[in-house]
Amino acid sequence: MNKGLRQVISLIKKGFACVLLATGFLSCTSEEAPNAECDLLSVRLCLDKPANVLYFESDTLRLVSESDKEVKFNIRKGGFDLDSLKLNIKMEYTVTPGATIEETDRKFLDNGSTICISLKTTSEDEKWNREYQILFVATTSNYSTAPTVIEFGFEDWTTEKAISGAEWYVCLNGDNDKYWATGNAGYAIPKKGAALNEYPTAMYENGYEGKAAVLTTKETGFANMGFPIAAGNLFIGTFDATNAMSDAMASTVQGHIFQMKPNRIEFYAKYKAGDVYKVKVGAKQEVDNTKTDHPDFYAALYRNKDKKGNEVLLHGDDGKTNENIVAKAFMKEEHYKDLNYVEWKKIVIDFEYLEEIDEKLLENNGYNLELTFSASYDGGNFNGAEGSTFIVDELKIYCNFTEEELENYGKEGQD
Amino acid sequence: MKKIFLKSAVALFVMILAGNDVMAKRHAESVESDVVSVNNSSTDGIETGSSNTVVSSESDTSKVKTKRVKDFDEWNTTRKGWGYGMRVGFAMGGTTPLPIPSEMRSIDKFGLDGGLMQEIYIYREFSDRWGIYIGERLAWEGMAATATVKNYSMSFIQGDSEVSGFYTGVDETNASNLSIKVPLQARFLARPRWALRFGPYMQFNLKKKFSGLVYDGYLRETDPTGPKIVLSADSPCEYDFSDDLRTVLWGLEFGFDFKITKHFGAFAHLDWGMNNVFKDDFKTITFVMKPVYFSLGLFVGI
Repeated sequence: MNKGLRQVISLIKKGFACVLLATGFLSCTSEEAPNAECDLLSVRLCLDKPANVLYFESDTLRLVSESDKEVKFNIRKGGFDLDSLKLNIKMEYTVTPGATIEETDRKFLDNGSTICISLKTTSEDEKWNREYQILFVATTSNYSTAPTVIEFGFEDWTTEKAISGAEWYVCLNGDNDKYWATGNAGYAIPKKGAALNEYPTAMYENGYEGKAAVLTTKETGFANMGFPIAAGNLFIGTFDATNAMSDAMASTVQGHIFQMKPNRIEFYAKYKAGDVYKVKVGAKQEVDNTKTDHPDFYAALYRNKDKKGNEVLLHGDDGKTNENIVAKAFMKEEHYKDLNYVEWKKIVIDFEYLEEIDEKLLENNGYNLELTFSASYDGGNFNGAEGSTFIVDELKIYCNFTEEELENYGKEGQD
Repeated sequence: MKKIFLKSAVALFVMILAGNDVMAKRHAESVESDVVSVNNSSTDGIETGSSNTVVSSESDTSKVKTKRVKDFDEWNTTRKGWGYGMRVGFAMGGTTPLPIPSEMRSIDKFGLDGGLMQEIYIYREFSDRWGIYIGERLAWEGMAATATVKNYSMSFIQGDSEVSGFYTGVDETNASNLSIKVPLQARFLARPRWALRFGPYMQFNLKKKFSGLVYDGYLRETDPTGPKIVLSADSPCEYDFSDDLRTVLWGLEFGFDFKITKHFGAFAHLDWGMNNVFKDDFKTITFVMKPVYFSLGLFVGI
């Protein structure tokens, strides 16, 4: 073989050897670093007779979301000694692989009606900690068969601050600050610098009476990530920001235990639709001139356990359709068509019952009530018009009324 | 102005060529005289008749030396003079943290984006072996890599909207540059047909890109204890840090040239970036990213 050719082949071989060496060098990765996360993933109560303490035996296991800081167990009031429970209650935890967990405190809160166990987790790399509170709340039964009107004036507001520094309004309800939820925590992810009243859900000073809640559809600036808008919302339940950017519907966990039979919803509202209706198409937004935005409101009473006793919680995607819904009150065109942004309109929606209520189940915390306001009717799918604004105030839930009583009560109210 | 510049450049080029020929001739003469003196000494060795073995050995060594000098001359027209040429080739490599950090768990897919280079060069030899080399290279280098990362610090920024934190999942990165590279190197003629080059280079980016997608994972906002934001495979998040890349970079280059014929050859060189591709005030990626590219190609020149 020609000497020159041989040398060329040798050169090519050497060249490839260098490429292989470089590729090998680039592809070698160093040893996996220890985990930096330290989440509490689940809590299991170790009880001899769980039915004596909890309303449902399946409540012994509670899965914990990454966004949760506290885990609440509703326990029966009476029938057992709270002091003894505080001393003896044992729990099993699961945490992020490699993380450790330790109990730091165990005490009574709320004049002895709540047991609070404080926990601290430490990540595998020992650089990060999280603190949790496990609450055992001895619940007083609200079960009643007498006609009752539950009122929410949206007068009490506070703010919540994230570790990123973002701060937003939270609607309180007397002493139970976890009753109402909003999607503000999701909006805070991209808009850390937003002012309090720039969030989709905020306090409104000039309500029908006192303060009110103002819900606005806002652009997030992340249209090309499939997260173009955040429709202002206010609902009974909790908001889990974990899925806020990929599946907003799943992030609204709707409903709290309810021990009465709701008959009618009343509230006052103002509304203006945003100018340009946009629909989400993949990771883009397209203007749809055929559509105009309108608000949404729906309430439903639903069974909070399935046939196997597992917990059922409704979300944005099945809040109107879940098979566990037993009574519903949905806003229709006749309710929103006359809404405007100048004067307050009273909206009245009656509950429609789909099946008979099991009174025993109602008394034993077996039903949840969900109730949701939204500034854009399809906001959960990221469709809507920026600037759509829905102001709501003086919400009343009529419960345990007969039709006749309801009619008379209404007349008395008008008198 | 342009014409004047062009005329000056052409005149300079002609002068270099002319000077080169003169230098080459001078050099050839000096080599010839060296050969004569070597031959003389070997003849002296035979006349003394002291040690046949030694004499023969010295004679062989001299012959080898003579042959080597001849070889050097045969393959290099520009000994102790000016040389110039042009090279084209493929560039392969990527922008990577080195050593690869523990946040990067695996590189699942790797491809090139661009990967072409073209260079004109000039060199001056100061001795039989050593010279100085300068080039002006247009390089289009890039990569498209898919990696699985764990706790990888990153931000997504759009206008006044920003999401930042620690990401675990799949990361697809597209990093490429169209740049002018100016290598300034020492050139060593290791063998008649082999030249080694080593020295720094400056890189001026004309176009720069560092963008990508993240999906099938989650972001812990702000820090590993922050809210968990799921980024599903169905709705990947895009990021673009192109504006945070530096325009001027520098690095070290090690290369070697092999002559197949007197004026044509193959080359290979490795460019190893020495500074971070990102500006100092860029905090999103916590580790230093450097460009490392290996080029392979052909050259023509003297």
